[in-house]
Amino acid sequence: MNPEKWKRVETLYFAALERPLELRQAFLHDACQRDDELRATVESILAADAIDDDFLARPVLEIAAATLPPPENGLAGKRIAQYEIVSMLGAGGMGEVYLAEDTRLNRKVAIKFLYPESAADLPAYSRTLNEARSTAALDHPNICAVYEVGEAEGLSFIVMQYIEGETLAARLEREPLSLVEALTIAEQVLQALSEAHAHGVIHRDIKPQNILLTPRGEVKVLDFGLAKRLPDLSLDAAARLAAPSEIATIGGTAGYMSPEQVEGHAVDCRTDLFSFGVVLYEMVTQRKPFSGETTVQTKTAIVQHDPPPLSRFSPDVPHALDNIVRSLLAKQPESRPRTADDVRVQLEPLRKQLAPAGGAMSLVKRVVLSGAVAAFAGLGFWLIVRVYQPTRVPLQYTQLTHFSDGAAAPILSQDERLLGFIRGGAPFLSRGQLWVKELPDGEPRQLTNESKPISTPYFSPDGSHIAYTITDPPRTAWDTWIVPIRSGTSQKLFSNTTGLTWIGRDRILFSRIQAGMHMGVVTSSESQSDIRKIYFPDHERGMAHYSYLSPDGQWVLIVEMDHTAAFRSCRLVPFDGSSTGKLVGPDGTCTSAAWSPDGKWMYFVVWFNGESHIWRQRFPGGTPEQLTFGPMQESGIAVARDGRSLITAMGLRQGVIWLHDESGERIVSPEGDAENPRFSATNHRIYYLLRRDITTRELWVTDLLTGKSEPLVTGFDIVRYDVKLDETQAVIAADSGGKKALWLVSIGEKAAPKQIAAEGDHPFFRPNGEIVFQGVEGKKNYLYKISADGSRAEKVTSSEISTTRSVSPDGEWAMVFVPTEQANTKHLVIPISGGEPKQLCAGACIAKWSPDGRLLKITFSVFEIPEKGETFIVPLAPGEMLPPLSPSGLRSGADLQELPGVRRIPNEAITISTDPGTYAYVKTTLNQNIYRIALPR
Amino acid sequence: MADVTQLLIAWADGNREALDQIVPIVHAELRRLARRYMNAERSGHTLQTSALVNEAYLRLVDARVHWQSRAHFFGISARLMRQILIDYARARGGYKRGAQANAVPLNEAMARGARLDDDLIAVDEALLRLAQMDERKAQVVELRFFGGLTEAEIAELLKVSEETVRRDWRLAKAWLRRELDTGTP
Repeated sequence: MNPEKWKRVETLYFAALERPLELRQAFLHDACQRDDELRATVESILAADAIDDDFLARPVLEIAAATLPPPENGLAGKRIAQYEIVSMLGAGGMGEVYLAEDTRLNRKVAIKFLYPESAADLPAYSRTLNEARSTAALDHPNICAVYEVGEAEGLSFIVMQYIEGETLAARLEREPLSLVEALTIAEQVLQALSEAHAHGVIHRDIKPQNILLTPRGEVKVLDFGLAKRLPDLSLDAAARLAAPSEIATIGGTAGYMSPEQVEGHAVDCRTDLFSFGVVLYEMVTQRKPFSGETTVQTKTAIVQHDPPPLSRFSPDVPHALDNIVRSLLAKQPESRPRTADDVRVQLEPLRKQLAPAGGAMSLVKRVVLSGAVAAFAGLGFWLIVRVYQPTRVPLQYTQLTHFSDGAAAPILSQDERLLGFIRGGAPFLSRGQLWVKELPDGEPRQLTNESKPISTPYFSPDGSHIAYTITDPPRTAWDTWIVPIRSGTSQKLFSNTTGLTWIGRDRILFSRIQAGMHMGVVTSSESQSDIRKIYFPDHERGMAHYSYLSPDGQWVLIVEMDHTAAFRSCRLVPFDGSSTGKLVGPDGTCTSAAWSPDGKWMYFVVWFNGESHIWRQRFPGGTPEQLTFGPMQESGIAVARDGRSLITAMGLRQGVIWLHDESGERIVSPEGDAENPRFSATNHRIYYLLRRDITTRELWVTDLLTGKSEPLVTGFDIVRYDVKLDETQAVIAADSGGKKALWLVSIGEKAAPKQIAAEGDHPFFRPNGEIVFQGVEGKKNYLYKISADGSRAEKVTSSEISTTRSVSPDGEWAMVFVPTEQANTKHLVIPISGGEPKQLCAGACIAKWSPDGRLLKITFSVFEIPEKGETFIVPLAPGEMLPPLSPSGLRSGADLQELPGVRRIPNEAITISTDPGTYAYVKTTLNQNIYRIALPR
Repeated sequence: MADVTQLLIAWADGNREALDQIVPIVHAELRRLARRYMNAERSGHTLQTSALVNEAYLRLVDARVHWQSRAHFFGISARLMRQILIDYARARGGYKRGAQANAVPLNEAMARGARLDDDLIAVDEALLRLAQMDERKAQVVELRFFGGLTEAEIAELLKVSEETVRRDWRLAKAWLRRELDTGTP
């Protein structure tokens, strides 16, 4: 039939329908005239229309589901790996479950095979497998054990404990539970949840179908961590990072979902508590608290409606139980009990009160549970250390990483399944690499392969990526990059952006430089088109590196550096930027901060009295209290979402000075944390700073001929120093009341050190006894010189500088970083007696002279990271303090290698002597690893 | 995986290529859900196609997109559900009908569940013929029968009145019955 004819059919058909039945035939006869075929067609359609049955009445899928034969017993009779498949037990969202015989261990098991279709849904699929692996670590009488996660013959499967029994769903259908029975089951479900949550496993799909009652009266919770979740919606790097991190199970179990699951927000263990509350409600009342005719209605009820109290349906219900259930069903996770144990503690007295004398239990037998710690004992990877603080609050430490090369800067994904950290580097600027590890015991995986220093990792809101900072000024300044966790390569996300955190959909909080090195905290949307300043340090060399938004979004904790590039106390500023806020935490060097999820506590990692420990302070008005003690130093902090624990990197820092000469390499410093070595002009002695105890850093010297080491200047926390060429005097910069002051010290005499500047840093001797140093005026740093008696100080140049790196032994050249208008610095050598500065390098570099000024070491980097990069040792022409330079400066090592006698050393952090074959370097072992610390209440 | 929400918006804005990216994602999701519905969880549950599509929608699409995109999604889903169900039917051995095929009382067959697969294939083929004559009516059948959409939803999607949808459905259904009962093209 062509469309024209069909059009006629349609017109006639509806026209006929408008007429009474008996008139239709006549009407069609007239209307079709002699076109009998047309008439017959319309008549046959009208006849078909008259049949009143259910043709096409229901959508096909409903019919299909109701009428199709049961699925074939696919794999039964087959053998896969060591499993003989016996029969199908059922099928679920992602796969089919079979009863099988483990021929190796001679036991019945249940095997869940994942549908190949599920594999197309790759994120959810691999998450399911990974979760099964983490569930495999759960060993608890109330949790159905996962034995194995395997793959064979192209099928992925999960082998689980086979449990004979009845689901709670079936049991509830069969007959109502007594209140005591309900509470007894509830307690065991809570035990299971408590155990899983302690391992960072969230069930996400607690419902009567997943709770099994065995004939022996045990309660087993099934499918832990197997709950299917939404695929990540934004695997595509930077484009859409604000997608919800996870949206939980949807399907037949809508009535047990938590409001945050319904709304697609991130979930934590309190989601399980909500679902548990629904189950408890149903066990007591035989009713589902949230139900509707459609899934959408049910979900609306979950988000909007408060169910009637239990007592409306069962008058016997104690008031206390009503309250517990109401708190479990709170719409806001924060309003629910925090842990399964909290609920259990509340339920237990009720059950005891209700239980008949003797506690006889007809249906469900109480199972005696081993404590969580005992359950861990068999697992070799749990290290539990107890440390007592003066208030005798025991902290329980659980080691999460075990690297010999250390791990720092720990971060937790939103769902707390993934631990991210920088392996093999320092906490701040680190030549380590970004790694992730699935908690509790996944295989750590390397994500980045950066040659430049990285810092400030942070999980994207959907948990699929980690953002981090690459720093290598001036070439890359502070840029935020992003690397996918699953697989893929890093991409640059933002320029001039560091310390990035997401603070909501499409909102970010980060630090950026407005000029030179003046770094502050700002916020914007992800487009960065609407940047709003929150806080910039007063001093133009100040850098606010990290920021942490309070849970209520009103306050920001800020970790900042002062004008000498030293971290200072943390700062609390209003998010609206209306004031510069106030300093918080102890009066020390704050390197990291965090909030408790309820916003009531501020946490800090602070160097205080020479130790780096975790402190906390009540928001807003509390006094700081120290939380961790002991020889291990903490760095980095992330508080778990339940507020019950935090993770941090802990370790002992030790720096050892190695001497490299023609006879090989050897250690020259005594035990302790040594740094900043410097040779005497004779090459016979080596000076360095040594921290032996925790409160002071002393100036030491080792005689390289005799091997004898001795302290020269003690009683100060020395940060930087210089030794006069004739070795009669030292000048030190040391902490003094929150600032750095300069002192002149006579070596070998008992005279008291003499303060020559109340504030100063980076001191260097000139041959005439004057001292060149970096001082401060107003909001800027300048280069000064001062006479040895401290009487005359004057600026070397009128232009500001950022940082001083070195001064030539002839006292005529200072190597400094100078801020530029952009977020950048230039690296210049400034003539101290006047004249035009020279550009030493086109990009970043550090130059330092040998004590006799005949060699210059150049590193094309600004950080001098030990045992990384390369150093060029350049012989200087007699009377010259600089190699030949083009106006734009040196570009790379290639420019130097053409010069005669240049040596290349594969380590950018070396100290040169007067002999190009002899140099020293520091080997620092931080030995940090990541720990979880359970917090006192 | 691409973001279905963004793609839907792009598609609604006239970017045809976006659809090419949406289809495989939605297809995989629906296939998975359909399989689950047909294989299990059948006892005691009233299955609704719209619930299934809604589930796919919730899983794939940011719930805050405007209704138009939602309608588009349901439209695509109906097309895909048709494809999926027909694929299943063929895979289970439903034979391809031709002119020689016997007339089958579809309602009865469906009630028994006996020859559903064959009937589905027959409906599918008849719909192809209907589409050649009258695309909108074929769409209405697809959306309602394969997609489980309500008349109101279909009206919204096709930008016609509900009355038009009802009339289209009535004629298309009668015509399809006649096609299947007689087996004549």
